Amino acid sequence: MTDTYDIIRSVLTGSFLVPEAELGPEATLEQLEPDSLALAEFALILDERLGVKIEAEHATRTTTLAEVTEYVDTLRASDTVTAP
Amino acid sequence: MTKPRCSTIRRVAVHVPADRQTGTEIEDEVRSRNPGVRLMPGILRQMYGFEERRVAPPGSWPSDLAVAAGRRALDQAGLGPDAVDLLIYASVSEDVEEPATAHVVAYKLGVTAPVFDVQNACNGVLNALEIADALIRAGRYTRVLVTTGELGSRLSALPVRDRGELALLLPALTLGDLGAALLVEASDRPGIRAAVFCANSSSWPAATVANPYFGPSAPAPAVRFDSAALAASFPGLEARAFEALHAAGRKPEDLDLVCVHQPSVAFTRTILDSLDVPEDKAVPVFTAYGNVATAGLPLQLAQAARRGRLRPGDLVALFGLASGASGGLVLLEWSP
Repeated sequence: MTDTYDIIRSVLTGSFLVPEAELGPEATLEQLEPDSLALAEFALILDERLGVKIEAEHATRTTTLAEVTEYVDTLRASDTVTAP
Repeated sequence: MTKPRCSTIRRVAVHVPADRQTGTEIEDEVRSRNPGVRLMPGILRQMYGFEERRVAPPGSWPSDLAVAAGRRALDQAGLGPDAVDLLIYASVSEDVEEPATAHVVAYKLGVTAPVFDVQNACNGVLNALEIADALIRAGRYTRVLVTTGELGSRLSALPVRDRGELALLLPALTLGDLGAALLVEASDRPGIRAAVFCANSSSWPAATVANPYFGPSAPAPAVRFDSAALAASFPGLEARAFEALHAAGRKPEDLDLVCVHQPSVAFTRTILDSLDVPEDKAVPVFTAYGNVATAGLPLQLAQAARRGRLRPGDLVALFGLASGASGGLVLLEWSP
């Protein structure tokens, strides 16, 4: 169990002002704002917080929070393995 | 030789402005021009894989970039301006609405031959090659100089009033400056083998640069790049263009070099994948030059030649995608 899901939730509520009540594992990134800029900003913030490079196809409007969490967890785990 | 059978690209030359501008510098500039609009640092790298572009000196015109490249191509061929039979200017950027910028280029170069402009967004140079090839094959001209001068960096200075307008301008922030020229000549040996184009014109509103003399009086963004609509306008065009390859009895694996329009790193990868072309056959230029529009294909060709990746007889595909939308493929045998 990691803190990824909680961090993603806090990014959405803190930086994108998405109401807490609207966020659940099955919620999609559509709630950010319907423009491509917001999705790129979301990926940038996660990079700053967690040091992970998110490919655009893993953070689209239809991606759910559960899917992003799983993907970011994979990236974080592989970073841990390859770290010197 | 009154009615030659073939045309070939004898020389390709580019003019690369010395000044560089990084993504961070562009973002800082946009932020300082539009203080009310939030722009997160690093967004150009995140969205497009952009690192930097070349920027022409203040006071430069598109024709200046085309002239510098055109002169280089002629010098390399050991020719003077009087050797040119026809000059075509095929850029997105133009000096003036009238006359054709080709006249400005010809005058500055000292060319006195007939001239005209060809415009089809980022596919202008590819269409100019198609036209040059057809005219040379028809015996109308022996030596055609195709030129372009892209000055897209100027669009970054356009004002944005809100986040919506910023999103529509964002792809234009990666436009880089570059001049390019291709000297196309009559030849007994095959050079340009095929040229095929297709269009999806119902998608024309996806990316527009307004004409200042016509259109609505209400203020609207002069430049609108709807990335999602643009991306949706392309699918299918690459397959139709690549039918030319199959019609010529060739397969993607027969190609020695593939130059593709590069509006971002991710898009370039997608296009290569859809064409079934491995990345090592391409020449990546977007990261270091940005989107140089019509000058992108000649830039890749020139870089490949300079790095010794082009040998006589090599089979080369020039594949273009442009707003409109249009797709085009020029298939050639490198025979300088």
